[in-house]
Amino acid sequence: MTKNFKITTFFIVVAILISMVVNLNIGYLQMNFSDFFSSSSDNSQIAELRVNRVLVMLLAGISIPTSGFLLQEYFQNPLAGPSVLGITSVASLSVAFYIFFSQDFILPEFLQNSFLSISAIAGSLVLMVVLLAFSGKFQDKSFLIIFGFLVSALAGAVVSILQFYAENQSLKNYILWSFGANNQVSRNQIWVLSIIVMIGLFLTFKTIKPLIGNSLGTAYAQSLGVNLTQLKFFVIIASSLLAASVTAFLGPILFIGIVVPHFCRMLFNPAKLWQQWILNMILGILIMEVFSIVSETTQFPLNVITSLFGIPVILMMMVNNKKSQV
Amino acid sequence: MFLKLINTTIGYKIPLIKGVETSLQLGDICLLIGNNGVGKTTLIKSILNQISVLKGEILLEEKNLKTLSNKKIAEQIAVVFSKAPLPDNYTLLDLISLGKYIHYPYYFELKGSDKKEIDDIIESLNLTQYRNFYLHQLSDGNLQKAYIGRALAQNSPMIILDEPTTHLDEKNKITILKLLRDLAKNHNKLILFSSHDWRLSKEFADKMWIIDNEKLESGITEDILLKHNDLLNPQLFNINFNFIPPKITAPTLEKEMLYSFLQKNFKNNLSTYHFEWKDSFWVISDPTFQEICHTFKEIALLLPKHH
Repeated sequence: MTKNFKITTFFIVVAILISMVVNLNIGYLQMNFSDFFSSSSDNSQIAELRVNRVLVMLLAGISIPTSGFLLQEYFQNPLAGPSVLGITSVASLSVAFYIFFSQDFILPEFLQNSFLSISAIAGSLVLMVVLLAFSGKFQDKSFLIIFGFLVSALAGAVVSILQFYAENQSLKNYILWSFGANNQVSRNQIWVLSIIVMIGLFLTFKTIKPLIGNSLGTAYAQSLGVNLTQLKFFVIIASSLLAASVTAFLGPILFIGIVVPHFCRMLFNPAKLWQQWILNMILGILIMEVFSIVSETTQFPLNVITSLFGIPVILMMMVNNKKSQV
Repeated sequence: MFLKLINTTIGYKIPLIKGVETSLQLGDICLLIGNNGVGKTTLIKSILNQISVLKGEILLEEKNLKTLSNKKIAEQIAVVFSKAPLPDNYTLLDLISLGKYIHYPYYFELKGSDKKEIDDIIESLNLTQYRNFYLHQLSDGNLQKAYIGRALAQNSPMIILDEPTTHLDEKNKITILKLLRDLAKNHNKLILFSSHDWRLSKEFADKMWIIDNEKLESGITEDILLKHNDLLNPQLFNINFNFIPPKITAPTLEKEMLYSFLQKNFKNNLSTYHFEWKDSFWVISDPTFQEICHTFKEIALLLPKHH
């Protein structure tokens, strides 16, 4: 099993490196090696854009699957994910608020960029606090998922109202953002994003062992010395940070948070959560880089591609699930 | 003493069992009985410090349970709950390996020596052929054994089992009970288990805790059974309401056998009779006669004559 894991990891990492190089070379302009290293080159600005694109896909590929993986393991439900708990939609709602109401303010350039992410994270933080408050009262895990569904519906309704009354330009900005804007992230935004992702990953690192202890249910978890309150806090905070920050910069990336953990369970023993987490991160990076390449070559928005790929997989999962229950 | 309860009162807010005063040591196998809802599981959870005691204290190796971290308690006590969860994707091997959970700071990968120990446990439980089966593919008996295997892998001196024999057939019950006794006697573990099957289980336990009327009584199994005549009294299983039993002087098993036989076969009042067991035969007497019978068939033939 361990050998199997090492071999799988090796192949995925090699594939990631190849896909990154390909991703750097996709675009209108033909670039050569020196463009990426010398700042004096004519194409250095485009080169920076492409490097940013590759980096942002890397961060998204780590964060979204990790977020989905944490939620699925915690709720022991393979269909849980950041979009299911309402994290993505509340982040979208905050971004909508920001885009539709910010047109009257004229902010300095650096603030404009960070406000987008701050509003998304602030929105998810509010949702997090609400989720934590409710989850203390309701022990039932499925309650949280229903709650997330209702929150998503509510956020969607409010976004529709905003869209209805919005100015043309704001509406266009919002719709462009919701397509998944993988080409418009600046280097400064990447710094902000990586810091948030690092915090999320650190919390995830602290969460994996308690999650393993929790796999036999709360009574056994307690008997193994797992701190259940801390586990719940860490899972919700880590998954919200990871999902909300990426949503803010890249738009709602749908289904990847559900689909990647599912594939990882087919690749290696699903009971081994550390190995699963590592697989989730590297497979996530690979898929995001590949999707970015497809999105660049076909000119389809990133979100359309993740949906075209994700929905059939989820349908397949649900059909198989039904079969195994009969 | 490994485990000591000093004037302990147990319950969720409302006391269920008051003033428990008892102790157990390594090598003991103790059966916990009581009717539904008297607080058996609550007592078990209190010993695991999952519910705090309302009064008094529980000492584990002379240390107050409240001062110990959950991890320290896990090093001393492994547990098998009555409900066996079936996480998807868990094989028997994964489950038993989980016993090693507390011995690793991250639980990334088991050491070679631990893998070997897990294999030995699987073999000792006769589960080798099911090693890579998913938990939901196992029979109830094997699933129960797997959960006991997980507790064994935890390597703690004490194991608590809540209803380990429910849902098992007679043969599997005996296998599990023998296994528990072997753990106590040959591996010097302290086994505390609850069971509704006290008739069978008592044969394997040398101590007994009985919860009745908000009190816990503890002692050697035989002493407890003698004191609690109502437990043994075959009248519990009265199928013949007109029957008035004779006086029976015999060890528990013979007494129960004779009672069962008499009440099934005789409607009458047998109160004038006296039955005495003499190692291999019954001496039957009433004011008018005395006879010896070697089998129940002889008793059946004898008694109608005198009526």
